Order: sequence, then C-alpha cells, then structure tokens
Amino acid sequence: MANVRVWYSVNVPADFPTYDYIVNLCARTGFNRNGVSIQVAGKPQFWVKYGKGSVIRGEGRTQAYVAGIVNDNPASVVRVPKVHLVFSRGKRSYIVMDFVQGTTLAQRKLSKGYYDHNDIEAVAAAVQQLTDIKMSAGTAPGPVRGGLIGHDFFVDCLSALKYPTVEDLEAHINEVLRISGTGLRANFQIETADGLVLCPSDPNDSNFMIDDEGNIWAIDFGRTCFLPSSFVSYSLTRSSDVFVQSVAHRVNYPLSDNLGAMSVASGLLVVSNNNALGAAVTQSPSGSIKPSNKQISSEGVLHRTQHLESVIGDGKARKMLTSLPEDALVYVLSFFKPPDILPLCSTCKRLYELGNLRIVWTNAYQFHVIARGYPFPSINISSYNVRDLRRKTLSAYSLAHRWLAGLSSPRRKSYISGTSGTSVSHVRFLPGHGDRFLMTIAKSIWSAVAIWDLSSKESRKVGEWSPRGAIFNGFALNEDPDGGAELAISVHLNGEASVRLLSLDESIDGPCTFREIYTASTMMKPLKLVGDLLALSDETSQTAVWNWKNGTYAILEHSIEDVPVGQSAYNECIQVLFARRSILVVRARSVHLFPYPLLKPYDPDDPHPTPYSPIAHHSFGWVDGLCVNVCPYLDRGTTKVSSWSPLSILVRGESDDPWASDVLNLELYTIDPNPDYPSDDDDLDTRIPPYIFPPRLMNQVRSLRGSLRCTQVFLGRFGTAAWIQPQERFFAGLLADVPQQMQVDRRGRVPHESLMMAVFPGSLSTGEGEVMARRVFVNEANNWTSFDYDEVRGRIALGSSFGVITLLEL
Amino acid sequence: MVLLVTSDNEQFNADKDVVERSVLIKNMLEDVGESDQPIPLPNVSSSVLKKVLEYCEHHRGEPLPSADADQSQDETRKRTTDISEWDQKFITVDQEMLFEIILAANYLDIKSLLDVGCKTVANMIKGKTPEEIRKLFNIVNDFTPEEEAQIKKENEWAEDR
Repeated sequence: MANVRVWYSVNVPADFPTYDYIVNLCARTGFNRNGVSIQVAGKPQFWVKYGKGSVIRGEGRTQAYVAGIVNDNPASVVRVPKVHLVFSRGKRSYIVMDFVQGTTLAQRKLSKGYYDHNDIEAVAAAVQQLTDIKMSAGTAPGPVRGGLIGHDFFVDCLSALKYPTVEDLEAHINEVLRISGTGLRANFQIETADGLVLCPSDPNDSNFMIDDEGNIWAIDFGRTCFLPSSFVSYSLTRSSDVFVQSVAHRVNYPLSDNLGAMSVASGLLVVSNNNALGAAVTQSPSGSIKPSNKQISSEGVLHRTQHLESVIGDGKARKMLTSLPEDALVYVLSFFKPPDILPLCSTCKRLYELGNLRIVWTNAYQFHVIARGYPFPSINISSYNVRDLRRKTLSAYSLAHRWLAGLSSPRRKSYISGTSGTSVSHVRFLPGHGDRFLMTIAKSIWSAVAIWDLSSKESRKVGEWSPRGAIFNGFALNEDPDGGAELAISVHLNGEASVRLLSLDESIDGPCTFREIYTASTMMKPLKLVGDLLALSDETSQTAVWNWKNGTYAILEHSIEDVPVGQSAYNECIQVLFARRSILVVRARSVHLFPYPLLKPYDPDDPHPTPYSPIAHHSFGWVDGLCVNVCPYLDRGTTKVSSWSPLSILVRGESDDPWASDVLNLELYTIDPNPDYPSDDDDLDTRIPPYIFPPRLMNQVRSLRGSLRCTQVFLGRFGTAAWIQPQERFFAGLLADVPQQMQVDRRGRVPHESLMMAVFPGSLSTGEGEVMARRVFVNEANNWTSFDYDEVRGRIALGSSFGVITLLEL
Repeated sequence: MVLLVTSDNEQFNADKDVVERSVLIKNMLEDVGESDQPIPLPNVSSSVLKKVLEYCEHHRGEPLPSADADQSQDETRKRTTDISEWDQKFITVDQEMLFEIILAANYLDIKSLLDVGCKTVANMIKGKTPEEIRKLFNIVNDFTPEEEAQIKKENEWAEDR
C-alpha cells in the first residue's frame, strides 16, 4: 500500500494482517481509544496501539528495544509485549504487539477494593529492572533513535523540541532557569557519564498488568524515554498518585541534586504554557536544536521577570489565586473548561463555595456549551437547581468532546427484558419526567403501550395501557412536556378507528396511569404533537392540523393526479415538521411544503373548507427512511442569509433492486431559507415559499443495502445521525452456515446488523475529510424492530422481535 | 498627557489614548474634564502599573470592545483560551504578578487585559487534579478528611452525567 512507512518490523509471518486491515480496524474502532485487539481463530492475538504519528513511532521503537532486552533474560521480573511492527500512514502511527491476557493493577484494585501488597512489590521490582536499562553516553535523550521526550517535566508531558544531545537538553533547561532569575542551574554531566537510563515516568496502575500465570507486564511506553537519571528521580519523588508513591518508596534510585532546579524550570514552562520557552536564544552545543514555531524569545521575557523569585511552591507569594475578589474569580472561572472547574473548587473551602454559585455554572453552560453548539436539552435552565445545572453542563460538555474525539462505541449498555418475549414494535424515550421514562408499543393478541422507569438500576415497568382488543396504528408523543396530553394514539377497536389523547399521571415511586382525555373519530394517524396542536395524516395526500383543545383546524392537501395509472397512490407520511411560517410534510416518496394555515373552528355551513395547497415540493423517489430537522450548527459552506435556520434532511434511499451494488449512501440535503421571503410579519404573501426548493445535496455517508426490518434514520439537531445497517449479504447468503466465531473477517465486515452513527461537519465535527459511519453496536440476533435516538442526552434504545430492549449510553 | 499616582506614591505620565484603554480612567477623565490634577490609583502599585501601561501602550489604537461585546463577538462568547504571541510573552510573569495584573485589570476595567490573565490561569489549570492545583497555586487544604471524602463523592455524581 502506498504511503505506509515502516519504522520497525521483525519476523512478520506471511499470514500477518495487512496494513489496510489494521488501519481500517483502528478507524472503525475510532480514534478516541488508543488500542484494539486483532483476533485470530476467535482469540485475541495482537494488540494495536495507535495515535499521533511521531509520538507513537518513538514509543514503538522504545518498547521493541526494551522487550528485546527483558524478554530474553531468564532472570527478568518484568515482561514487555513483543512488538512485531511499527508503521505510520498519514498522520497516525500504529504499534502491533502481542496481546497479553491479563488484568491491569487498576482493574485488580477495582475488584478487590485495595492494592495488594504483593502487586505493589512486584511493580516496584519491575520498575527497578526497567530503570536499570541503559543507553550508551552520547545518544539523544528521548525515545530510542530520538524524538520528542515524554516526561512530566514538560507541560502536558511532551517536549516541544527534539534534543540531539544531553547537552542541548541541559542548555535549554538552564536558559529557562536564567529567565527565572533564580540563579539555579541543572547539571547532567556527571550522571550521564556512563549513559542514559530508561525512565518510566508514569508507572501508574493502568500501565502494569498481571497475566494468568502471575507475570508482571509493563504495557505502556508512552512516557518512557532514555534520559539522565535526574528525570527518574524527578518523576518518582513528585508524583501525587498514591500507587506511584507506594511503588517509588520501594525502588532504589539516586536522589538527584537537580530536583530544585528542575522544579523551578518545569514551573516556568507551566506558567508560560510553552515547552520551547527560551529555546530561540539557547546556544545549542550540538548546533542543531530545532525550536518549534511556538518559541518565545527570552529577550522579551527577561526584563519583565526580574522579580521572579520562585515560581511554585515557595509559599512566599503575597497575591494568590485565592486573594482575588469573588467577582474576579467568577470571571476567571468563566474561561475554564467545565471539567476543570470541579478540581479547582475541591482544593479549599473558599473555592468550594465559589463552585456552588449558580453564576459559575450558568457561565459554563452559556460560554462552553451553548455558544459552542454542543447538545443540550432545549429547556429553560432556571428549572434546574445548581447541582443539576452543574451535572447537565458537565455531561453535555463531555458528550460533545466524546463526539469531537471520534466517539465510536457506547460507554454503557443495559437491557430490559420484561416484555415476556413479545415483539416490540416501537420504542421511544418519553420527553419530560426527568428523562426517566421509556415507552414501548408491543402487540401480542392486541396492542399495549408500556412505560418503563429507567432511573433505577433495574429498569422496571411502571404503567401500561391496553384496551381489550385494540390495535394501535400510529402515535405521536408530545414534544412539549408541559402540554396537557402526552400521547396521541391511533386506535382500531371494534371496527372503528379513532385517535385518543392520553395524559400520564405519575405517582411517586408508584405506578403510572394513562388517562384518556379526548377521543376523536378519524382514520388519520397522529404524526406530531406539540402542546395542544396535533398534526395527523392519511396514507395518500391529506394532513390535518388540529388544536384539540379549542377545536380549530385546517387541512393541507397535495394533488395526487400525477400518480401514473396502475400505481398505488399509497404514500405514507413519515414526518411533519413545523418550520418557518410553514409546515413540511414528509412522505415515503414526496416532500411538500405548505403555508402555515389559519386554524378555524368547524363551520356547519362550510363542512369541507378548501384545503391548503403546497407552495413547494420535491421527491427523492421512494425512500426507506428519512428524517428532517433544523440543524443550526452544521457547516453549510455558505454564509447565513436569514434569521431562520435551514432545514436538513437525511435520506436513505429504497433498496428494492436485488442486483444493485452493496453500497448505499445516506444523503444529507439542506433546504436553505429563501432570501426573498418577507421578513416583516405583516407582509404575508403565502405564495412565496420561505425556503428554496429543490433541496441541495450537501454531504453523504456510506452504508450498505440489504433487508432490514427497522429502516428509520435519525438526524439530530446538532448534526449527528443514527441508523441500522443490515447484515451483509456475503454472510447472510453464501456463508451463513459457517460458524461465526470471527467477529470481523479479514475485510472488516461484520455478519450482523449494526447500529451505525455518523456526525456531519459542524459543531461536533471539525469536518476534515469524508464523513465516516461508525459501527457503534452489533446485534448478533439480527432482530431489531425499532429504535430511538436521544441526541442531547446521548441515549439510544433498540427494540427487538424477541422483546428485549437494549439501552446504550454514548 | 495624564498623570497617574500609584498606591506607593509613584507618578506616571502617559498619553491620554493609552490610559483610556482603562474604562475606569476614561470615565474619570470624562467626569473631571480637562485638568492637570493627578488621578490617584490607590489599588495599583507602581510595579503593576508599569506592566499595565506597557500593555496599554502596545495595544494603543486598537478598537475597544463595546459594551455588548459578550453577545456580538464570537471569540469572547466561546471563551477560547488562545492568546496572541505578544500577549503570551507579556503575561509570562511569576504568579504574584499574574494575579496582581488580573486584580488591576479588573479594577481599572481593561477587559482585554483581564481576559489575557484569565486565559493564562485557565491554561495553567487544564487537566490538573486538586492536589496538583494546590501545589501550583499554593492553596492550603482546609477540609477535614470527611469533608474531602464528601466532595469527592459529590464530584463523582456530578461527573457521571
């Protein structure tokens, strides 16, 4: 394959996975994780660690080197997963190593509740052996064969520069110390006279593993470099991690004389947030130190920092963070990323009080969630108390960042299996009620609506509505949780069709009951319920908009004269959207935009008022699934022309051609606001559409065609999408009887239907390159019937024909 | 020229368009009109005022943020922590001076300088644990172990979405 660069490779067997396979596997796993296993014959055989090119590359070489030394030594007390291959493609690099079957110390602590004394001893022995590994004098400090240094001396634990020699590193540190004006100096000459030592600078409980035979494995070389021994001393003495401290006590290492100087230098790097501080004027002894573009000239720094005595930890500072007045602190905090607020407010009582101020969290919500276009429920936050606002803000921020980091798998999953095996035809999260209710519709002999409480560990059924003999044909949930009716449902009972409006009465910790508050006789199905306003549709051309409380209504209808002879006029309604002074009616093969109608009471003299006609329309052909939404945060490549947002439509085309290619693109269209539409409220010309037709194709994402029961697609307001991808024909057909031990075949295909998600360029995706579908969850039973996606809370519910409901948290 | 007097009784002469980057001084000048009277700044020491004037001098002539800048400027609204190169050099000072500058900018009402100070603190604190923050800012832990355990529990709940 082109543009693959191999950095390390040894005895790679002929049947080794291909580069393509490895890269695709990692891309599918997502880049928010740092590793994935490769299975051979149903067992994990290799572990691939991947990440930013240059860093991973150095790590891979160091690990390979160390593995070579310790694994061949029969007296070793530590093992290192053998590295087979280190390569890069594009900006990412990949380390393919042996998979180790075992548990990390962190996992062992989790199951026991404490660190086992013997485990700590074993890790200490391992660290001891690692720090005894040496590189000859004169080699570049850093990973094997040079690179950026991963060590906690530097801001964010990674140097900005490559240092060709120890002298270059020392000269730079001394330049930083000169700027600090403390008179301290670092000297690495004596300790490096006989070489550099391996410095595992982060020996935390996740970086060591114990296998089934009790062997200790060092599994992470991200911050492990060859450095002067002062750096070992620096890491081990300064860690604030309890585990690392316990390990450090048991390791024998020389206490360095450079610690004071290194602390001050590191402190100034932190304050300036610049790992290249002073590097521009540092006289490079080797003449080849490469400053990064983030350099700061020390000329500018020096004369302003004369009074810099000691940067951190000397206790002398008169003005401290805590001496700022409250208003200034609140303002300072408004610049903090929300997850950084809690640690600050856990340091002392004064800052703790600050963290309980509503304004702190209103700012965090306003500046770091809303202004950035991150998903948040569209409700008035004054209904939240401070605790809830804090929690929702943090969760919105972290969900958005999981998306931005390439979210590709659920964080948690759980199941509800109380449906006694009855196939679930619909599943929906119920708006309101503290987001704790899920609604299902199932049909055995007759239909039943059930409400499930998700708030406790075991979800339980808390309410049911099931008139004897009734069949449900369609429903709409009220999007405005304060509305009087929560559910409009179409009921066929004793040969009569009607729509019932139900409210849900909640009792504390007890059952919920549905109460019928209105019944109307109609064949139409409810599609949308907002407050008292209900939109209903027939299966061909008519839509009614009805205020059930005051009885006013209007009919919208498109002409069906153009249906070719011999074809059915059947055109099921999928969605109704209240748009800018208009209503968009989305059907299986047409999209019509109607003017927003004037609702009138029933007039006996005019029992059939003239229906409203569409002002614009479009057809995507037959579609399997379609979802329209207002997505204000999507990148559209055009500047905003109107005060109202465009509409976005995600379309899954129909797949009735058995000979078509396997690939099926989901297409994202935009319907832009019409700049010619009058913005003045009084100037209403109902013939000018407020949007421009036809819809404009904006983006697409690859999926597969195939037979599927659940063809819904979801497009969220913040630009994320979800759909089910059918099982692949390759598996369903020719090889259906091959044992399905292998989850993924060599070409990366999955023999099961899968929940796919994608995020379109906008506030949750930087939008570089093609939009990739991510396989978030696989259903080995291939029996999903319905699903719901709650974008702002990052929740998914999947109903199945066996009655099991799967709940996923993103 | 405007004459400013600091808390330690040092006098500074500066151009009007430099000192008027401080909304406080600008309003004072408007209130008193043209006069040779020195403006006392009892909350600002000479070493800090020197820094503040250096900042105002460098940014002289740049448009001042309007009163409703919070709503209109995307950058401000999103609270990014990017700092321009000159400002970054300027703010590379010890902690005491950093907080003195934040205090002075808050008192003198120089929003852009206040923002540079706040962004610096936000960058320093990024991703740190409470213990690391205490070390960094010399904060004394005045919680009892019970209180600390309670806070830890609260935080876990808050972070668990």
